Amino acid sequence: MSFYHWLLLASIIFCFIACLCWFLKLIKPVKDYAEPAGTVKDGVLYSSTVAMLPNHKESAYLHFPTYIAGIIFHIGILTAIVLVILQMIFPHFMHSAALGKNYESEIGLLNIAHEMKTIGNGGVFAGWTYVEWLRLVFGIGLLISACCGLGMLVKRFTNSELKQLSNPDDFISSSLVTLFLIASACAMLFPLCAFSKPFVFVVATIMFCYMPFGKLRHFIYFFSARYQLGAFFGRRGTWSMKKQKNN
Amino acid sequence: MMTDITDKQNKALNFLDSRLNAKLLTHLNSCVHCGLCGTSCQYYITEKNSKNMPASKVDIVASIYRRYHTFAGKHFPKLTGARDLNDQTTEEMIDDLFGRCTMCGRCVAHCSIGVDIPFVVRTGRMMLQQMDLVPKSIQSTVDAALNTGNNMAIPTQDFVDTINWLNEDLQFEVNDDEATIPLNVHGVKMLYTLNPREPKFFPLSISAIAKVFYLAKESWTISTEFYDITNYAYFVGDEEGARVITERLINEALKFGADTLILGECGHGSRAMRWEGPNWMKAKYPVKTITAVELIANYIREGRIKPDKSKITDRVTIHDPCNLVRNGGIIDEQRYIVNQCCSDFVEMTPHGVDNFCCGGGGGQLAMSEYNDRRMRIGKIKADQIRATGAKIVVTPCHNCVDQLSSLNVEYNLGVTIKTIAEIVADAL
Repeated sequence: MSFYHWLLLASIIFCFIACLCWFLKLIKPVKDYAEPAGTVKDGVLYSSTVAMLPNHKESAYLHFPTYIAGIIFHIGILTAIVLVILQMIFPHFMHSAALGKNYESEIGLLNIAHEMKTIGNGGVFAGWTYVEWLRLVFGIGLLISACCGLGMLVKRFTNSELKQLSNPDDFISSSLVTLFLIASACAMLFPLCAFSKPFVFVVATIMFCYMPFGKLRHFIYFFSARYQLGAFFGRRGTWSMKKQKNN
Repeated sequence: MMTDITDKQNKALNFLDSRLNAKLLTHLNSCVHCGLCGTSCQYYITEKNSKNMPASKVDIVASIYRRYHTFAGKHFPKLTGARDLNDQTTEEMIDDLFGRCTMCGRCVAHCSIGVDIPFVVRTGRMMLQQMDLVPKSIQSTVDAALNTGNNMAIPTQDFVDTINWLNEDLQFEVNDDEATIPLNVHGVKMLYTLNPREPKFFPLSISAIAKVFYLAKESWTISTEFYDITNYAYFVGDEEGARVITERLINEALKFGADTLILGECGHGSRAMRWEGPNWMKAKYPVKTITAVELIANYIREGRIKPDKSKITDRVTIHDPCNLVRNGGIIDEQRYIVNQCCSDFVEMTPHGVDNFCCGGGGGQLAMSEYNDRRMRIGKIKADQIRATGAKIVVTPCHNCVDQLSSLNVEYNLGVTIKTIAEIVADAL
């Protein structure tokens, strides 16, 4: 493993421990003496399913392009994080013969791909295995996700009310994650480029180091917020699947 | 470098520190400043200003939290927008948290993350209360309640005189010279609470509920000492004051041997008693609580009262009080009642859990300094009412009645505003 592998590993461990510290503060139950009218379970179930649907939230249906961009952006981030961790653990992850690299792979996916017939019949796709297709799909997907991030960043810069609401951390966090998506996309699309892998690893390292300090840590609080909200409305009998059906 | 803070500011920070449980930590750290909450808030819809965004109201409290409780906030405050608690921030807090939020909670359900914005706003108000910076207008309402037993400082004799006068009205209504509104009767089943606005401005709503109880043959009484269901201490973040107000009513129920406390038609009062009070007292109540709305719905279901819907033919709509409906879970009962009492009922759009506040919530009615804003944001409700074509607006909350009455005049709506008890009494 090269030094940037170690850097990334260290940053992930640091991020995990720091976020764990935040998380541990969130799991202490808050005592409520009021007699419940509904159940926490019902409320949390509703809060994490129906209440999240775009037709139930004005933040989604009144701002549909932003909502969709946000969804794609976050799916991209999750995918990119999984990919970079896999690349860190398995140095030859998603290498293939068609790329002129060592074809040996550590995960089943590539072994399957190795056995598969090539699916390109000619042209630039000649000799492509599933690995190459997967790289292309991931690469384009991550690029689209990065574009969504970039779009939201531009909106934050250009919308005066949003700009007023934002602090430097909002811009840094969004920029960092968007850069990470671009780097991840490059690593997928240009695997032969000597800098693509170090680039994504270094950007990921910076992102993981920054995560516990800025707004990126909202990934922990999001789940806690949905729980707390579900518990609040669930106990009071405001939110439940049954009420939804009746209304 | 943190600026020097005064003793009172230090008290507020210590208070914040003491409140940092899982719930508050979650909501102080969750907001991502997406700004999408703006379109769910009537302040922002009325005036497109970033100060009116719910996220901005959260951020004024969260920025202080970050300054004193996070690594980045302590060492690189500008990076995360962390701010010192100082005269400037407290001034902004007063305007943002008291003057730009009814704590209706509409933004909560629509927030992309799920931040409990009114909960954070209330925490900020509590910090201001620790610094004695609650607007004097609303503080005087709290003081009146704590010092006299009701927020309008109505002398006991005046209250008794009003009830005696209402007895005549009740006797005429039910055609029974023996019918009375029972005061301070021991050994009854239920103790009724009411909003002091009723004896002061809307006395007929008391005779309306008395008519309902008379026909339902209920065993009930009103205490002449502590009958005030409102709890403005809840709005100003004075938990000790709120506890005292709550405890008085519970003790009063016990004094008269009542096993149930009826929460009169007051949204925030019902919420405070039903959902917050046990936590202020740190104990479950020794008596049951039931809202007047639930009780009346039960009477109709059980056949104890039989409203005649042919008596009310005008179009009727319901305004949902935020604290009773969204924050209290009473959603269907008032609809059931109105459907039983009126032949032409229409819903507003939106309604129920998704309703808009009338504009008078969060203590706005008691803060004259924000009257202009209150009336401006109320236009949304006025437009909703007008769109229904209704002649009667029913709402189970006297604060809402007050605000809707003002909107009725301001926006020439030409409607009659009634409580649930009033519409039921009309149909009996």
